[in-house]
Amino acid sequence: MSPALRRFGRHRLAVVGLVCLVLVVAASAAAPLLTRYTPTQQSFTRRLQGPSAEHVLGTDQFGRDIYTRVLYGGRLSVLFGVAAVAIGLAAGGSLGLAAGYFPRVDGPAMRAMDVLLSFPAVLLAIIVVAILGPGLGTVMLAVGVRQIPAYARMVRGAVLVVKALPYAEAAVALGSTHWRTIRSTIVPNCVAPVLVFSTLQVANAILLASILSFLGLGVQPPAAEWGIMVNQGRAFLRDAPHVAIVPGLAIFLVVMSFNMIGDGLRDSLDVRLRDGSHS
Amino acid sequence: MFVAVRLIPGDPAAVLAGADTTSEQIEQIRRDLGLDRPIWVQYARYVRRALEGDLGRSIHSRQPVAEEILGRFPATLELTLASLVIASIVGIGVGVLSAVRQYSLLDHVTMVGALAGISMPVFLIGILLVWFFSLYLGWLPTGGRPECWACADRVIHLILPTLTLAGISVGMIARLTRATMLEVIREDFNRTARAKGLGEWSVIWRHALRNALIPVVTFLGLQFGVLLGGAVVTETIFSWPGMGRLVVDAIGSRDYPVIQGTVLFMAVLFVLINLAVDLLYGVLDPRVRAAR
Amino acid sequence: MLSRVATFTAALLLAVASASHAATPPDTLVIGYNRATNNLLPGQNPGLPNIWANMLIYDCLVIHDGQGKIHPGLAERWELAKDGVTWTFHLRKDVTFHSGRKFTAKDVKAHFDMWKTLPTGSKIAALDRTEIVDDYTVRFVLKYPTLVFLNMISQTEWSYCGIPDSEQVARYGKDYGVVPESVSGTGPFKLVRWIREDRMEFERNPAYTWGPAFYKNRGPAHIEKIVIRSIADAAARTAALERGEIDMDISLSEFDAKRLSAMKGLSVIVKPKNTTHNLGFNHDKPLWKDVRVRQALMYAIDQKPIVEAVFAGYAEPAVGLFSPSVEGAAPDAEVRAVFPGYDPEKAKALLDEAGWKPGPDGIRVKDGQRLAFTVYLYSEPQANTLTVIQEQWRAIGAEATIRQMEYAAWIDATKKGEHDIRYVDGTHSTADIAYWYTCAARPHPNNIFWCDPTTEKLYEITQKTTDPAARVKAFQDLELDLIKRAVLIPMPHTAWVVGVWDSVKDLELHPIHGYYKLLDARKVR
Repeated sequence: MSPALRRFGRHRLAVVGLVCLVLVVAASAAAPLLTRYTPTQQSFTRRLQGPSAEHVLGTDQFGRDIYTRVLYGGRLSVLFGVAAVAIGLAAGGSLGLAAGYFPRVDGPAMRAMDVLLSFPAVLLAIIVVAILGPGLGTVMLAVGVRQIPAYARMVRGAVLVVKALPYAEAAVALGSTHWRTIRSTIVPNCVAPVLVFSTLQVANAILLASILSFLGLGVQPPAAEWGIMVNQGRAFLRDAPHVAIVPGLAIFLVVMSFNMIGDGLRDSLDVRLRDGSHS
Repeated sequence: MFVAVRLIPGDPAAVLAGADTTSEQIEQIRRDLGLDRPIWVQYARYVRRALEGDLGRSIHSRQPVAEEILGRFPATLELTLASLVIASIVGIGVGVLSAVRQYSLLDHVTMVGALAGISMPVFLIGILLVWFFSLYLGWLPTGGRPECWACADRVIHLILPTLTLAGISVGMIARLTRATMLEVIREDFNRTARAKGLGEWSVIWRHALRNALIPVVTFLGLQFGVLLGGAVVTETIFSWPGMGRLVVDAIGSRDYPVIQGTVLFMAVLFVLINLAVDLLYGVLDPRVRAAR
Repeated sequence: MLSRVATFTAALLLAVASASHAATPPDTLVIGYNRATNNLLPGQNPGLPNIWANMLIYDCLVIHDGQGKIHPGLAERWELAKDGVTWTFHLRKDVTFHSGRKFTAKDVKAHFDMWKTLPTGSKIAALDRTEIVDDYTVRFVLKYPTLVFLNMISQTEWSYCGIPDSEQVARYGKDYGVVPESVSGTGPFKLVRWIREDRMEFERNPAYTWGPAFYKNRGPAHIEKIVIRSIADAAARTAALERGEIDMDISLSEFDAKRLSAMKGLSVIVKPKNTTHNLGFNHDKPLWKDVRVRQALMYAIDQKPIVEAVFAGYAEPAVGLFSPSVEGAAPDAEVRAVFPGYDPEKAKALLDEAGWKPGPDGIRVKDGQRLAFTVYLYSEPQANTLTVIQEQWRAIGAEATIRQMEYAAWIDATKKGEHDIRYVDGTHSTADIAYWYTCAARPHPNNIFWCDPTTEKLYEITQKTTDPAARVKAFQDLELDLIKRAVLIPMPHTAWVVGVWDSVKDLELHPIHGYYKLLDARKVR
């Protein structure tokens, strides 16, 4: 890993992304220490104010501190991104592994995955929400469902490449069981592409989750969630544009960080991927 | 999909009936709509009729679903096609420039820009555009779609939604174009062409771009699907009366026939687009033609 | 290349900017809606966009004016027989449909027979049968005596009573009210074009001379054409108004109202609306058995910040349950005698008394149970209102979770009793809406599952008495009782906030539906 790490270090954008991301994650984790307000605390004498010493990023319709809400909102967005990718990796990854390794599973499973993948992510997620009703768990699931075919296809591809390598063929020839071949040969060789892919997919998942919240189909107010904040702030765009724009930029910053890290990882680990699907 | 749609909570008969109706009346409506029969009976009937082009009637407006979809489709098609054209022109142009001037300042700036484009939530693009062009400068309308064909007003209303939607694609197209161009430029036949004494731009136009475009075209076909998804958000922001809003509204009012019909329509559309892309691929790439 | 693109864009935008202020034609009134009309068969679908359009297209036998007084419509006069159940209506003889056919008793009977089978048929649940006496006389026979019948068949009651051309209805069947050319009524405007989800175009009915007496102009209307445009997004609607693309916005965003009222040539009209918005406890839940807990939550709410933060000041804190302008509403002073208003200290004291003690996180606890519950609601303003209340309740140690859903899902969930509290927005013409809280109306619209002998008794008086004063008294007692026992918590009364260009004159606005027939409205240059 060491030369890869050095290559990553030379990738300036990736380092910037990593620093940004670490800062954002640390700040949301330590949110209570960094602000004297709570995310739902209201003040009716200070509604829709611009930035000031009291409120660094101004206040919203209810006089809530936007800086505080953005800090707490980071927790939800990162949670959505990671949870969705975890669902995708667990379900899609095992499916892709099976499809790549056992040719009999391959055809029907991947055909189904192709159908899912060709459907617009937003619509797929909306249908899941429509069935399950909005809420924290639903958002993770709705966004995660989208990740399943993406992972299945990606892992299957990686497995096919590894399987064709001489030492994998040798392992099978030497009488290794399926399970042992998968564990000792296939999985370790898939780690690098999965890592790169996951970084990019977290970015996509965060975007998709924010779209659901924006459409009012995600977590419910008064949750400090960035997509909700943008949607609620939209009504005040003329007089107080910062209410909608600040949380929107927060989404952008985090997603951009993940994408920059993903690009850096791809170059430094020398992984070739098709450009990730966008929500 | 049919079962999935039917799982959506909320009783359409109750919604239709409104705030103050008795349960007997709701039962009556349910019978009228055929909602009281077992789900497989409903499904069989639905499939048979769908094959004849009859997607049923909207529970809410009582209008045939096929008509509702066809009424909305032009607005969505107009928006997505305009966005695809803008995104392709800008994306391919920027990608080619970047590839030709690899590692130049221009390359760095545009590639960071492309990454930024990919990282922008579509609603942020829309809101920034509305704030700047409509509210701050007061130049462009904030939404709506005037009912006239190709009149100036319609084009004016189309500008911001198109830019918004194009924004989610342009970065990806630029990155892909640059990557494939770089590969192609390095390939042998270009070196040969250059050795023959052709000028640099002429090499790029005649040889490199043509070869680089093959994967890009495939990608554009897939982007069409992405744009249709993005249209849901864009149509919401700009009050654009397209299919995206139709399906979101239908979910809100539990209008099963409309949800089913729209989903079915889109699925068929994607199959057709993928087919078209495959065919186009064959036309562009002689190798595929030969292999068949 | 980039600079060339920039120059081109700038030039295009400049061209756009110079052409951006549109004006509507002088003989045409363009109205903006927040939602779209979906069906024009009276009684088929509720929803203001349908009702507004039906007000223009159809007439009813009778209609209320803005003050709540009943006037003749298609009926010249009517009488109630001594038996209390037989109503006879004498119809006008000079009325024709848009199709040119003469309006007769046959059309009235056809509509009432059909209305009983439509989703809104419960409005005329008291009606047993409709009889044609002669071409211009109709007799309604009720199942039991009630004063409410006349209210229910007034056009003000959601325009469900609008009489369509019975021959058109027979010809088009299910397509009536859906296919634009099917629509034919007797109203001052006729439908000429309908592009779904976008716009409806109406032309003046030149034969119309039978407008209600509370209009200066009994017909035909002054305005020659009306265009109704549905623009769902509030910001887009406001922009369309500012740019002069529409003459009036019937549902102006409260947050744009102040700015627009300062604009030259544009006015913002604010009129009270007959609303009964309220929070209702699910009385099947053990949590609410103790009246002190309900009262504590009621005392903890301060409506003033809601009016400011959610409605930008364009709403009134509610004292009682009914709109004060409605007959049967208890006077404010009497309501204040049973519930003086916001008092957080009293709220805390009530909870202490009921045995709810503050827990480690500030939320009160009793017998291991936290004072935590979920509020079910279905609209953005409701969610914003609850966002304010959530903090007020937290201050007395109660934790509310908001569950916002689409109206359809909300009806379904509250019918099943999933909620602890539900928020409902209601607009009403009479206090008869109190039937929502009677045993028979469970589970819907009585989704608070309130079933109480006192309420039953008082409501029955209001429905069966033929003495108007006794009816009013019973409604007032009923309202005071509901408030005193904190069965429901009144929420602010919202208003009609209408943005309109000054070129539109003599616009009449009503407390229930906004506008009715637009007979007096004019446009000047």
